[in-house]
Amino acid sequence: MSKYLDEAIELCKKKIMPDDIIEQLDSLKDQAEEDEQQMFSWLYEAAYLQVDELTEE
Amino acid sequence: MAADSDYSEVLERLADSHQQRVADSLVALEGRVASLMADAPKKAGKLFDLEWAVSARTELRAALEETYLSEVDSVIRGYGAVSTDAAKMLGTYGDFTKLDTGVVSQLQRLSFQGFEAIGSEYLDVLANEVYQSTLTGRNFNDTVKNLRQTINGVYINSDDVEAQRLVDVAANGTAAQSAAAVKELQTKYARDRVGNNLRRYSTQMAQDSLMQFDASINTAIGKQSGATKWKYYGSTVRDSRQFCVDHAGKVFTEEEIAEDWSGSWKGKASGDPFIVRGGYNCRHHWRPVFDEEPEEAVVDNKNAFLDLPEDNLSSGGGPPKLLAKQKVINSLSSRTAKASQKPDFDSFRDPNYNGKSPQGYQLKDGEFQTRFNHGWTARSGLSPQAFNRQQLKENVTKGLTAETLTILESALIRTDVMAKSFGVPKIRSIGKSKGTAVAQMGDSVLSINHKYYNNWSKKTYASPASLTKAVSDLEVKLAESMAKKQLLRSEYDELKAAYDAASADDKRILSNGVRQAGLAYNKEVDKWNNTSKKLLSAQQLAVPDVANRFVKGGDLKFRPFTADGFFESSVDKSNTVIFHEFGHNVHQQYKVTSKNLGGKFTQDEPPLERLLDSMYKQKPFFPTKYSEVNSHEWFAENFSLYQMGRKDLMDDNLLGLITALDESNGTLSRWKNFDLIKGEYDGGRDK
Repeated sequence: MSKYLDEAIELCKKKIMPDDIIEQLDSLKDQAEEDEQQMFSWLYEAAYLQVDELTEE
Repeated sequence: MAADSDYSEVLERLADSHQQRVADSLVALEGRVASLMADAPKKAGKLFDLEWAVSARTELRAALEETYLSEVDSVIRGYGAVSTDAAKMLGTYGDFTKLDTGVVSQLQRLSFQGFEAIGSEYLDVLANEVYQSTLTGRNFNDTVKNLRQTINGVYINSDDVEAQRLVDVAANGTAAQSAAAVKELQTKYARDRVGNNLRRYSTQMAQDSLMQFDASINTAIGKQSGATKWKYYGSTVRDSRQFCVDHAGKVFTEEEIAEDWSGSWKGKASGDPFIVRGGYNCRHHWRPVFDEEPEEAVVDNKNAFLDLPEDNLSSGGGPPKLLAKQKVINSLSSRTAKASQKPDFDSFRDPNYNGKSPQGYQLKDGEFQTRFNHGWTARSGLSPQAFNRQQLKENVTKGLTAETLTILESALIRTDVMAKSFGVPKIRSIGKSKGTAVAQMGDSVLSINHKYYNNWSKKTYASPASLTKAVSDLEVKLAESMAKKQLLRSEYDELKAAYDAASADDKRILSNGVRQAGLAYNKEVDKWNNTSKKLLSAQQLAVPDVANRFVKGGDLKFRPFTADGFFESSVDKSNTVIFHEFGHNVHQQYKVTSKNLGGKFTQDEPPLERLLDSMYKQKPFFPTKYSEVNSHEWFAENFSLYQMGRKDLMDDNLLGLITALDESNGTLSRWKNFDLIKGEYDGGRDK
């Protein structure tokens, strides 16, 4: 497992993910190994669950 | 032990030995093919002689016949003894008619033809590989490796001592050792080129062929003897189907068999129930019965597959029957439209339901609760609920293949059943997931990644040979494109050189030609790039899927990243993902009200999510790496394993909770000392 994937997992483990979580995942994914791309597709799944929650804005 | 049980054990041991003999013959075949290639005429390390390549087919056929088919013939000749043993076993239960030897011979011939057909298919693959490699001047060593892997997959022989040691471990080690060895062979030694190989199919056939021969013999003897009752027998093991567990050790009339076997269950194979029995890889058998015999106790069903409610469902043994695209789109639309009706009483069995706001999941006007943003903005002038009603009424099916839609439809049949069991809304709409997310779930809307699903379904329905052929065809196309690209580049360089050296007047004449040559070259570069991408995709489809064999208590580093890694077939993988997403639907919707729906508009989180957060903090068992991410993913991963019959891999405490929810039909209001209505422990929420 590359350090980029490890870092992405740690980001998604945060109770409150950073506002730019998708951009951060994009950046880490670009640097990760080819065989880790599908694992990233799962981390996006976790991230969108939080990102997509409705807000007052 | 009863005579039938003894006989069953003998059959299983015999099947194991047949599989080993067939596997050994393929090692010999691989050696013969390697020798043939070593003697092939080469120039500069490449094959070049097309006449030799055509004649190689004859040599390959001879090698196949003298190793593989010769051993298969010997194995099948041994079936004669099986029919004798079957007659002996039946003799301990009564007087049965002796079977005509002509019938036995005919059955043996049919069995051989099955192996012969596979051999013939793979002869084509091998011969084509040799011819195309010669035609395109492919690297000789790569060609030999491809040929070896077409025969034995990751189990190919090697001069490399470490690689050979891994092959031995993969073939003979424990489940965990074998999985680790296969993984290392795939990653370190790049043994992932040919996913579907002769070894894989032949060893599977060695098992099924013997069991079906035995089934035919027993059935024929019983029917000729006038039997009208039949006993279903055989051992139940950890992964026995629930259907087999329920029926093993019992006696049935032919009418009862016809009725019971007309249903659907996971892993069912089509065909005569007396021959196909419980389905693929089934270890159960029929024997005729004349007198009533006591039924045997059957043990262990902890890992049984689920029985399925309707026809055309996917299974561990095979995909659902492929449906026409428009038909399945219509069926999906009808299914999700029904689930979107307001209110959908079908999902609720809560005896306390008051008829106004079913478990709170819909508002009093019948609208769905809305926690997630599906594209809504305040500028739309609509409430999020009204926006979703407009936006989500149509399924997004454009770009999905008939194969994907068929698999999706069969999975939704199962999630509809889950909705009833867990008292949550059914999936009400199908969308397209954002970016590269594998899938998403929110407000009972399932969004999926078209690329992943189309690839899984393609792999499910395409024949192994066609996936391999697609790779070969694209390699040829790529080589042709490369040659053309080089030619066009030379032409361009020549014209450009002439242009650079020309006078101003001549430049005007030559300029158009240079530009056209450049455009032609650029066009070919694009073509080459596109073909390369297609080849990469085709190669990924042809890679073997090996199910992870991690067991609870094992080293966690051998776990798969996600639960789909525990399954080999593509249809099981895609179902695992959909059930994972439905797990999110359960924690998002169970016992929610407008006050605890979650999201920024509500005061509180859903009660089940509060409980899961608390359980997650207690460092539970994580069956996959991804389940560690947060409590929601931990629940969803375990939920999918529960639905896929792999309860042995689940966290024990969560297995208890999910089972209790499932068995309550959505009415469970307390779990241990946690109140699932209030969303808190007795005496306060922070306990």
